[in-house]
Amino acid sequence: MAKPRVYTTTAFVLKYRNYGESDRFITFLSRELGQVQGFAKGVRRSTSKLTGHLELFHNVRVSFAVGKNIDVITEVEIVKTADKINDSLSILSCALNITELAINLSAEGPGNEAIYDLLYQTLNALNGSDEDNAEKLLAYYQLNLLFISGLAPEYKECVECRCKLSKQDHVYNATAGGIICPNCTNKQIGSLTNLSVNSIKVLRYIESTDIKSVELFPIPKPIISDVNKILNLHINHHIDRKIRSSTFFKVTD
Amino acid sequence: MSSNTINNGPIERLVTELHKLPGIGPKTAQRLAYYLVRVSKDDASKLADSINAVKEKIDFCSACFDITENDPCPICSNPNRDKTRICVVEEPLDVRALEKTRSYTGTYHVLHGVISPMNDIGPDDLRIDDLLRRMKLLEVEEIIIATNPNVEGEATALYIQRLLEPFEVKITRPARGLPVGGDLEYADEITLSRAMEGRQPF
Repeated sequence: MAKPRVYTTTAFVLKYRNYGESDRFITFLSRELGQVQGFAKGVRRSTSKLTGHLELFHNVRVSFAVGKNIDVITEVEIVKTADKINDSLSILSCALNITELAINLSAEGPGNEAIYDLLYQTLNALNGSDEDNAEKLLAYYQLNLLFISGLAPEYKECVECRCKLSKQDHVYNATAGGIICPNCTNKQIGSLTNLSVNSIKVLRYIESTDIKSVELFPIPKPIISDVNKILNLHINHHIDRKIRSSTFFKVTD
Repeated sequence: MSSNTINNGPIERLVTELHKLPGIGPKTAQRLAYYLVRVSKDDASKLADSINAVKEKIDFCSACFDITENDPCPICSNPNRDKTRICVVEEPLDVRALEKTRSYTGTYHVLHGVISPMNDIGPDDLRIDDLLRRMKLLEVEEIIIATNPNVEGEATALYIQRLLEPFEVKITRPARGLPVGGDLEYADEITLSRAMEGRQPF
């Protein structure tokens, strides 16, 4: 069946790029259609009917008219705003990191439902959450996204000899894809990063529970920073691209 | 050998330079270059001279970093301007837009960009340090952070607000509301709710 000339979907605004005098290219993530690119004509003019609806993190109901090269956005309506994210710098930088990861790990077409649902859950939790919870929610999102994409780090057994890890501090190796037991440390190439036993416990806890419990669970700042550092290392190595908003996050501390 | 000569020829050099301009792709650059080959020598010199003049005469104001012919710029050197108020904007064009209103009598500070992690622009790439240096030298009463009301503008505003905390200065943001000539039914929820919050006696 031919694609309809006009179609509508519910999606998150992930990214935009200014074009020409007052236009923008916008990247969305839709549950059914995956990543969708749209052209928003005249959106930067204050009197445009699209203005304000197509801001980052908004969940919108958007209609497209099929174009020759790119589909043109004809109508847009906000389903859920994310206005509270902009009130805090640390929440905002976490949200930017989250959307950047969604862009890198999702694709066009169907099959992105789990990534969409995770994004929906995390942005909802971040919008209106306490500043101190931002890093926990980021870690929850990153770890679950890695599981969905099949790239999760191994932290239950040694990636080299497959032995069960003892309750002690270990080292993590991005090239190997997980934690190395003390016996295998010498055989490794690439840089090793120390990971405390508490950080490993936090990783296991985040994997086993839901977002609400992660938000309520008190995790000391140094431990959650450690977990975020390892997850960032893992992501940067496996998607072979530097997540730029993660460095911005450090700047704001 | 012959391809090397072509790559380094004057036309190819011109194409490479034109291609660096915003919105000019390789084909447009080629078309412009071949057009310039055909124009009279006089017209070509005028274009070259005006580019040179812009680079030689136009500079940044040492106080507000707006683009100017004389340093300090006419706004900073005007004694009637209120020096206790600084309006922080993203680009020189924002200064032009605010000046058109004729309702602001303070001074400006141009950041020359906005924090944008997606485009790899961090706080160090902007004129934020210069703003802090200016704050130490002058007695400033109010800082108006007039960055664009989008995510990047908000991130920059929050970052500047955090840095300005020790100065104990009044920090404001321009009001948000409905544009003149706009349509209420098409306004987004955030703009509408801010417009209702900031409503004025009629």
